Amino acid sequence: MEPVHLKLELAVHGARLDAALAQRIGRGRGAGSSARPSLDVVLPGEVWVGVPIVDTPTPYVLAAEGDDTYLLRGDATGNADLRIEVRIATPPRFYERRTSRGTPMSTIATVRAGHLVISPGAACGYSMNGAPCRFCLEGARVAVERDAAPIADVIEVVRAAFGEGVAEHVYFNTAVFDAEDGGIAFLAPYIEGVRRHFDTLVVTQIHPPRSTAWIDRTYAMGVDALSYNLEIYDPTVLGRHCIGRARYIGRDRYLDALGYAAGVFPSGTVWSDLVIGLEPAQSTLAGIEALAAKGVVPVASIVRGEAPLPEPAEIIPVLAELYRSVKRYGINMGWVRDLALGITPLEARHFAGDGARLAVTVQHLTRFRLGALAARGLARFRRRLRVRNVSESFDSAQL
Amino acid sequence: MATTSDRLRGTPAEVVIDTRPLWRILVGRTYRPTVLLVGLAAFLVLRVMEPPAGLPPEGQKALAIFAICLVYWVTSVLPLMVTSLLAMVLLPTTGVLSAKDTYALFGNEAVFFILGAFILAASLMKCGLSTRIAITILRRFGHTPRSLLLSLFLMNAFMAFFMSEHAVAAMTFPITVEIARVLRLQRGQSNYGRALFLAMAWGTQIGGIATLLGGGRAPLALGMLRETTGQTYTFGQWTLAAWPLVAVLLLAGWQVIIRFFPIDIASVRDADQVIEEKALKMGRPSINERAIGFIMLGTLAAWIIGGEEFGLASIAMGAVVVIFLFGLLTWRGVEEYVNWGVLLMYGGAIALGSALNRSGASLWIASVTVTRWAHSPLAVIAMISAFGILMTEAMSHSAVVALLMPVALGIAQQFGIDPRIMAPAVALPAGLAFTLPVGTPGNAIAYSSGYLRLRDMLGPGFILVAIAWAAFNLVARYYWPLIGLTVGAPHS
Repeated sequence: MEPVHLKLELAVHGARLDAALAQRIGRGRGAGSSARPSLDVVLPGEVWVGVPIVDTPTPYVLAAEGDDTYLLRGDATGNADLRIEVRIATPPRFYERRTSRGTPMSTIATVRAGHLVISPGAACGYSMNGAPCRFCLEGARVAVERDAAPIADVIEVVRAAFGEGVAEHVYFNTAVFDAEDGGIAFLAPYIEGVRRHFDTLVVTQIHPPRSTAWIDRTYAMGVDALSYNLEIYDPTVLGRHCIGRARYIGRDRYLDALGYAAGVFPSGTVWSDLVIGLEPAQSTLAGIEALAAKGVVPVASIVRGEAPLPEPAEIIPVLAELYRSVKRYGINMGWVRDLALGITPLEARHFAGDGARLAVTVQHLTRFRLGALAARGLARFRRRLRVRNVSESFDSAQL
Repeated sequence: MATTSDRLRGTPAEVVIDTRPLWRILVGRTYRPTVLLVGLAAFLVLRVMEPPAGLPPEGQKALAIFAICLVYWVTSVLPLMVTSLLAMVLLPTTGVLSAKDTYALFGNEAVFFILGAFILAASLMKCGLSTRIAITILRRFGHTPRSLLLSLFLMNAFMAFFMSEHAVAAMTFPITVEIARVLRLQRGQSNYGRALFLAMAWGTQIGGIATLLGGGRAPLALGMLRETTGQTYTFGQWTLAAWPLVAVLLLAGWQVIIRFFPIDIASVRDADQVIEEKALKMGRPSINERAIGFIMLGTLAAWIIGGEEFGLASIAMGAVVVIFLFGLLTWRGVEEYVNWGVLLMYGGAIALGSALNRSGASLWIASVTVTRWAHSPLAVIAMISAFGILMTEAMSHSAVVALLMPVALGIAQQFGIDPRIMAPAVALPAGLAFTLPVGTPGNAIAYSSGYLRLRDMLGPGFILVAIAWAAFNLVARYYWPLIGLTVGAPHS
């Protein structure tokens, strides 16, 4: 069975922990909230999946044997018909540390699938306004307004995470959604600080700004990849599940901003999640087509939330089309990777029966140190070529 | 230095993302380093190659410096003044001239004359006298569409007799924009709008060649002439040599404008009101304006009467001292208007030109270029003026003079032409860029109004350029001998 099939199965059915593993890692120490615990598991082929840990019947068990971890699948008679070695992302050590100002580092950043996810302010602005997405794990938490983290603290946390080797990229979130800039102005000093101190790729997940100039600035300030997550394509369903997104921004602004950003950022670095199972499959397919036509990478989000995921058989045709659409529009598939709660177009190739060997090879190369260095160098070089400061243009024209 | 976050928080710096294919951007971005390398390669190759027959070793070094400056001046990959500084550095380090000689040439009279002219123009603009003159002319003559257009054209030309043409264009542009606005002329559609801005651009250029004050070209040419031959022109002699060409071009320019852009409005009453309001706002001339007006007139008279005896630069500097003696201008006011970079450019160009002549390089260049193609002095003048008028369409006027003048002086020596001829033969055509917005700041300013499209300048401009070239050669052939400038025989 291809790992991505397993990823889908695990996302749908979840897994139980055997006693040894439960003891090793401790309950509630995983990536999810204590209400819906989950573990980030790395399947063969570096396929990440956020596995919901359940107590209900499921064919899957995560088991510990010595220092190793295995995924077991039991048949109807209780015998294991599948046994593969997996890796579990254990909480990094820096979660236990505090910054020099005394702030617990775990309140500033978390590690998800090799990404250091930083939320310098509150994590979700919609939940602050009482309008979180209904399926969202983050929004399900109690909304807490807190002061913005000092830049020095963020730098300290990034240094700790990189020093530990648990993350490669920095991924910024913001709770700001109703500003002209879509929240990027709030993140700008943090992004600038990270870029000044670390040679890394910076990703942001923010909200569409009101003017395209802010998208230009987002790229110019050093953001390498960007997501404005639409989540649901059907406007009616969007209004039902994502009250904040529909009320404060609206689908059209998401689509317009994504389309513009796809023209500014490198191919394959602008993506948007579409949650599987919340809207009819035809609507998700229309969303995939609309996004891919704009040069945006659609990602199939497999968040469970309140609504359980449909059976894999219902999802597979959608995922096959996810791959085919992105391929048809010639969008680079290598950039969006290692998502525990989403299936990327490149992962979805198996559902379309395609090997996509070139894209897989290129993505594989960027996992090596030299490949990652080249990717960062190319990203910097492209930015140097593309970004023009207006005042510099006047200077060069000697006006 | 502003950080990104500072810029985002409301400061004016904006970014644009170039979304063209990367290879196209790369080609554009590699242009500068490529040209820089080409210039350097030209310098090195000329330095190490076997000297061609007739080129002395010192001339070969000077030629190498000339080549690198030629590449950088023509392509503007470095600011013009920085290329001049490069020449100043290379001349002593390669041993073409001693350091003492090189920097002494920087103190050429022409440089100080230009500085004086800049400061006098600054005083005119700072006190408002230049605007008053412009408004007075328009108020007096501009009551019909035709007379308003003609007075704008002539007023720009007249102002450029006394100030740098670029400064005149910058000064009269807001007035022209306001006239176009109150007359509700549609951008890209109104013939009258096109005519107004073309009249502004062409008027300043034609007026700019009339005297030594219209720009730095003529003083630069005179500086190089003086360094090479010891000869020069007085203020009156230059104006006398230039005025027929100015007259012909004013007439031809006016005809081209009204034929290409027939007047399509019936009344300029609204513009009259604006001009009237501006005049009302200015009130009576202030003491400062009157004083600076008197000093300016006195300076003009001194240049005409005593220019030869005392030197044009001395008179200009004297006028500047008088202005400061009476407290009519502050040094801070001067700094706002004086383009110090241009002075650096002229200093370096004069030093390089002198080095080319002293080393025999200019003579050698002449022998392998124009001398092969032209066989009579008149043909030489026709060819040099054609080069000048074509090059200036895409290059700085001063850079054209800096490049052509040393070669022209070498040619004069070969053909036995009076070298004095070469100063106007190079400097006058080098001031006539009528077709492209990049030709001169005046054109660029007019184009930026949005009333002119490129094709509005190309067609009419090409015709005026052709007329200018023909008129220049006719003037050189038939008129200059009447004032003692004989193309065929050396000046005695």
